[in-house]
Amino acid sequence: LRARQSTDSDALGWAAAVTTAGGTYSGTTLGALSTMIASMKAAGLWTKMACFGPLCGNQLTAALIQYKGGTWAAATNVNFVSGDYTEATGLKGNGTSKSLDTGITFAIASLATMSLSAYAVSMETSGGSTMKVLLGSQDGGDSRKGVQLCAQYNFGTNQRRATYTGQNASVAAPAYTTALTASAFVSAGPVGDGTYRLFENGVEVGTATAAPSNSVNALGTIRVFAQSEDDASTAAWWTSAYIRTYHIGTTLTVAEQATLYTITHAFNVALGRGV
Amino acid sequence: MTLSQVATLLRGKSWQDLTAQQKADVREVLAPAQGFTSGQRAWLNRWWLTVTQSDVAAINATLPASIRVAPTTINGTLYLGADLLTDAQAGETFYKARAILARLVVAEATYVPPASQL
Repeated sequence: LRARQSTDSDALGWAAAVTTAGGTYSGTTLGALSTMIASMKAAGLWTKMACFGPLCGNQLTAALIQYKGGTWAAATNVNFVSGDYTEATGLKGNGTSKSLDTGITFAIASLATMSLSAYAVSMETSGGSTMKVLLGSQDGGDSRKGVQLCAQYNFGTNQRRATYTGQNASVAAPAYTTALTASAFVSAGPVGDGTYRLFENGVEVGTATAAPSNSVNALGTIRVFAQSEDDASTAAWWTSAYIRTYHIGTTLTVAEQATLYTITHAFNVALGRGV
Repeated sequence: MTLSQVATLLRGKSWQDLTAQQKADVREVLAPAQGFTSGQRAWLNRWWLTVTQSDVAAINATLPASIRVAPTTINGTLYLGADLLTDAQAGETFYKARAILARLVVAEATYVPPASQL
């Protein structure tokens, strides 16, 4: 006899929130999500998640359900329409107007310890001198301050780049890589040793040694597919990438960044959308 | 009907200016099957609804708190994506705002992102 594998309680919480919102999901999706959450718990990652968006389910309504502060509820949809999402592809930005507002404020996740990640496809890797943000929020009073995980940034050459609070080009270079890949699990954050680092598919590709500070003015909530500008009411620097899963965590170690990639990749492979 | 014909039909008009048959034709061309096709996306990235901040506030007042519209500024004019019209029938995301969306004039515009900061 085979023991029936039980569904993780937090995965059931997602399912209930989807149903309440009017969405639907398949048993395959619920099973994959359950496995991912159980794996995150086993690795000690679940309690480090301030926010987690699996971007799965049968329609946009379901895909918007995210985990934040211990509960499942919809991220705020800014301009996305149903045609922007399928479970097979994830949610697609348009580079001009669409974003999700996670509602993550800095009372929930301190900037100095914040890790950001996105399992992203078709990220910009060229295209001139503009910035394309996967997740972020920027101080409107000082463009060099805030948290950003960029699909692309141009600072003389194309870069994928992460900056953190107080980080400033005149103080120290942000973590970055110039070897851009179009599709990858991109993550970044402090790793507990006074540095913060940029990863692709769990492998470190950039390091900055200056510790973040908290010397910022007003910051908006963290956006996905763009960044908040100064306050939560505006966004800018939109990416046109597909995003299939996103996380906002606190102080993941180097090993945990690699583990989060492995777990997130397995989830997306289970949904037939791994890269 | 083709995307090019949809452009000709919609330019300078609002949704409420169309006949029932024209609306059906446009919906057929722009309706996502399994998500938008690349051709639909390319078209929708160029076509917008002209709005004022007052229109935006009125639309958001009809929507649940977890759904918002926000305008993009192109050459000093405020726009919402024309793709909102593809998700505004009964049971769809922007259905509650359909009356306001229907009177917004469709225009073609190209968003040019600014250069990176720093």
